[in-house]
Order: sequence, then structure tokens, then C-alpha cells
Amino acid sequence: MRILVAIKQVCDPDQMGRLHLLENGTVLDRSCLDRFANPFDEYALETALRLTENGEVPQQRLGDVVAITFGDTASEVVLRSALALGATRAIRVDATDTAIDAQMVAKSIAHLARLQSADLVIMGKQSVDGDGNEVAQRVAAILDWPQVISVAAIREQSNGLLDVEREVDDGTLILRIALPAVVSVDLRVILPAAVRSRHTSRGFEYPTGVRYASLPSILGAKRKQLDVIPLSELTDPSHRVLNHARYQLRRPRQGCQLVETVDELLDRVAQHAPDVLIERTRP
Amino acid sequence: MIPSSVHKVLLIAELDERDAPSPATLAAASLAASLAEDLECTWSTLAFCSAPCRHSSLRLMGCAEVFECSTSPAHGRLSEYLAPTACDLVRERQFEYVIGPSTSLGKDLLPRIAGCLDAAYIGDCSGFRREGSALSLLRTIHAGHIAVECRTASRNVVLAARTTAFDRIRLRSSPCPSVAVAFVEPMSSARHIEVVGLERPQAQRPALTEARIIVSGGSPLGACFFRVLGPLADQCQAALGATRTLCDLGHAPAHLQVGQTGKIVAPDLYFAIGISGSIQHVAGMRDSKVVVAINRDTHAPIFAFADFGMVGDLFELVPEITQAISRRSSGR
Repeated sequence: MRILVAIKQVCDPDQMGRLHLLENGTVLDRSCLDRFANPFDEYALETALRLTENGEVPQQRLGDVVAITFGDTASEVVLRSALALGATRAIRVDATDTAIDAQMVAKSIAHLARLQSADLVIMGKQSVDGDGNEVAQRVAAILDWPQVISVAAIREQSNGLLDVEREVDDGTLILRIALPAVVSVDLRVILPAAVRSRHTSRGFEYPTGVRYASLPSILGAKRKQLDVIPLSELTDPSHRVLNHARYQLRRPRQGCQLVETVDELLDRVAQHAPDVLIERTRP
Repeated sequence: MIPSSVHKVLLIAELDERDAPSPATLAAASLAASLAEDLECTWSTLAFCSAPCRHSSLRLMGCAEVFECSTSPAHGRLSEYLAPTACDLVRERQFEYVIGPSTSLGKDLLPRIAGCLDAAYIGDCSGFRREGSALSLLRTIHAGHIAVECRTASRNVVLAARTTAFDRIRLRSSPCPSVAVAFVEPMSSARHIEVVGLERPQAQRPALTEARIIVSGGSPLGACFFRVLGPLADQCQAALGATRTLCDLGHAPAHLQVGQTGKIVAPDLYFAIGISGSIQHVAGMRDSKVVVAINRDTHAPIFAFADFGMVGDLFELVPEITQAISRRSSGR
């Protein structure tokens, strides 16, 4: 199985205070924020690794995991880290973060999936800075492949089909897909028994969370193949469908009133949200 | 000059088991109606249902016409089946805007339609702003911390309406006409996916996205989540919510998670109990009308997003609040 894993470098969500607006709110300055791999994309990589191994022998890769990212040379750090964790190869699509939109990224990933003869494209369900939740669906549309988004579990069957669980508003939807396909993953995909390849025995459980790289594998990652492809080789870099015109910081509420007693609390709630908590009894 | 189409806006409706539009659809319909008014055009609806649609309210939302497409319930959950029909209708009738509710199906289907149409997609759209000839579509990024005005540069624009941002559209008394549309032969991808089953949790309380009151708990509740918060929720007919940590620890089911990666809610009253107020949780509840926070730590970030707060032990305060509400409801 050959899996393409898309990894985005995102801004640290705990450093929102360092976001600044420039030029009358038309530019969002994120330069003061630390960057790291989008957590959902790390889960996507862990999913890809679990699908291409026997959980009991994780040193032995039984498939091909190709990590890709979009950005300048600085973004290669997420690819080196993916290689250290077990990805077999990596591709950086040379692009400027502010000059690309979701459709451009999706077209490029779709193009790469064809070039690389991928069986599966996996990514996080959304980036924690852009909050888009759209690239996987677009890739699937462009390729005319089946898609399952916000995936909580994947179990590979002996015939190569995947049984996939997805959390929906009214419960958990269980789907069966044939490859090639596109998947985006949610938080619970990293639980111990959430993802299992056909090589892994049924009772096997992973530790919760994503794996860590050993020192030898970090050193070894430097020798693994990392290709750089210009964006223009994959899609028209001038064709944007969306632009951000203006930004605005949203402030927290003004002044929380701390109260001492439960009665005082309920009085305040009754004043500000009348008839919500306690319906006024009619005379 | 090419005459502009009078039907520019298409709503994709989601229906309940009785073929009535879901509450989320009625909220998205408000966005469709106000956008159509701004563009000085009419709007239409596409519904995947058992045709002819069994419930009349679909045709009472105030649109010019309803396109009904007969679809089996299993296919109705799969974008691989629905997207080709929607895209064909958009191309044939020259719709410019496609709007749906930001539900689990909407978030699956609408970006796929955008991908097919080479269109811009605005997820969790909270409205629009008109400045002369420029139309900006509004959403937030960075976990709700930054509001952004989006401008589109594509022929079609697809919007997922943040359902908490819009009131449900008021139903009219006279129905609009309905037009049957054929189910378009799905793309090849549809042959490679099937629904095996749906596991539904037992719902004893109001749905999180529809409740007027939400009682939400964080990790300090641990295994006592249901035992401590359940009586309060029952007392005020509230939905229960939880933080990601509490769900990940297995003390609350995943479908109760409120936050950036869970459900986005905006009830009239939100109780944040033992919730520190991480940026990810706040992203899911910051638009609630009144927020009450209860926490042991005076410096918990949640207080910055609350209207009223109490500092203290939740295991003592929550039962006390439950009893006080009970006393007041029964007229003391």
C-alpha cells in the first residue's frame, strides 16, 4: 500500500496573543508565533504508519508512506520529523503560505497522488490555524475517489477493503471503502485499537497517542529522500478562488462578574437571560 | 452583456425522518434568503428525499421552488452520490451560490461540491458584508480568535452556514412549487463506498446543537460527570456538553464534545463547570449568549469568556445550584 500523507505547518494555537494585524487589518502577521506540524496531520501520519506495518514489528515498513508539505525550506522540518518517525520518502511543494488557497493545495495533492500511484491520501480533518476542513473533500472530488472525513477508526480487512468509522452528528457511521480513497482523521484515531492493518493481529493494542522517534532514526532521516517540486509543476499558481480581504481580532467578553452565593448567581442569570432558566409563573 | 440569472442562490436542504427540513437547514435558509435579498434575486432549494416529498414544510421556507431528488436513505449520507446531482443542477440552472448547513453531512458534501466546481468554499460562514460592489463572506480562523472577511474569485461560491449564527427561517403559509429532478448517475467513486451501519447513542436529553441551555463539564469531574451534572441538566432541560479531555479520558461520549474540533454551540445559557477555558474549547462556545463559569481557580482563562462566575468547589456548588433552581421553579 502506498499512502500519501499531507502535513501542514501551523502556528502555535497557544500563542494567539502574538498575532498582530498590520496595514489597517488587511495583513495578519503571524511571524512571532512558533510553528509545528498540525496535530491532526501528526495523527494522519500515525494512521499511515499503523496501516503499513505489523504493530508488533513497527521497525519493518510493509508499504510506502510519502510525507508531503507545502512551504519554503523552513517547512522541511516537519518532513524530516515524519521521515524519522517512519515515512519512507518526503516531498516539499515549494510555495509561499500566503499565496496558496485550499483548491490549489487540493489540485496539487491530487496531481501528486496520480504521479505517485497512491492508494490512499490521508490528512488531518482540519488545520488548527486555518480551520478549513475542506482539502480532503476537494482532493477526493478532483480525483473522483471515495472520501471519509473525520475518521475515528480504520480496520483493514484481509481482502484489502477498509472498514472506517466516522463520527457524525447523530452517532457513528460505519463505512466500507475500496482503494484508492481519501481519508481525513479526527482525534480518536490515535486510540490503542483504532487503526489496524491486515498484518497486525486482532488483539494488538498500540500505546495511546503518536509514536516518538529514536535518536538513530532521527539521524537516519537525514539520509532519506526529500524531493522539492515547484508548485507550478502541479497546478496553476495564479488561479486562486479565495482571498482574505480583512482581519479583525475578536476580544473576550468584558468583565466577568464574580458572585459569592448561588442565589446571587441565579438572580443575575434571571436578569440577563429572563425565562431561560426559570420560567416566570403566570399569575 | 449577458443577462444575469435571477436564481442565483441554491440551498441544499437536510431533512429529518419525516422529510421535514432540519433545524440546521432552517438556519441555513435564513442565510440563503438574506443573501438572495442582497443580490436582488430569488433562491431555490434542492432536497434529497423520498419524492414526492412527504412533508409540506420544505416548500414553506420562502424560496421560489424546491428541486426534489428521490434518494435512498443510505445514499443520502454519501457525498459521492449527492455531489453529482447538485453540481449538475448548479451548472444547468447557473446558480452562483450553493449554501448548506454546517453539519456533519454539510461539512462532507459542500467542500466536495466546491472541489468539483473549482469554487471557493467558506466553512462555518457566519454571514456576509456588502461594501459597494464587493461582497465579503465572514468566518473565523485561529480557533475563533480572528474574524476574516473573505473575497471570492471563482464563478461559484459554496457556503456552509454556521447554524448558531442564524435564526431559523419563519415558515410561510403558502407553499412554493416543487420540481422533480433526476438523480444523476454517481461518479465512479460511489461504487467504492458503502454504508455498513450507524450506531446511534441513546438520546435522553436535548441535542447539543439545539438546546437553549447547555451544562458543560471539564476534566475535574472525571468519572462523576453524569452523576454531578446530570441532575442539573435534567432540572433545566439542558443538553450536556464536555471538554475534549473529558471525552478523551472516556468519561463522556465523543458526541458531547464542545470545541474547535467538536460541536460549535451558542445557546442562550452555557454553564462551564470545571472548565479551564483552553482556546480550543472556547472556540466552540464563545458565542453563547450568557456564560456562567464555575471553577476553583480564580485565574482560569474561562472567566474572560464568562458573564458570571463563582470560584469554589464544583462538587459542592453544582448540587446547590440544582436545588436552588428546583426551589425557584416550584415557587419556593
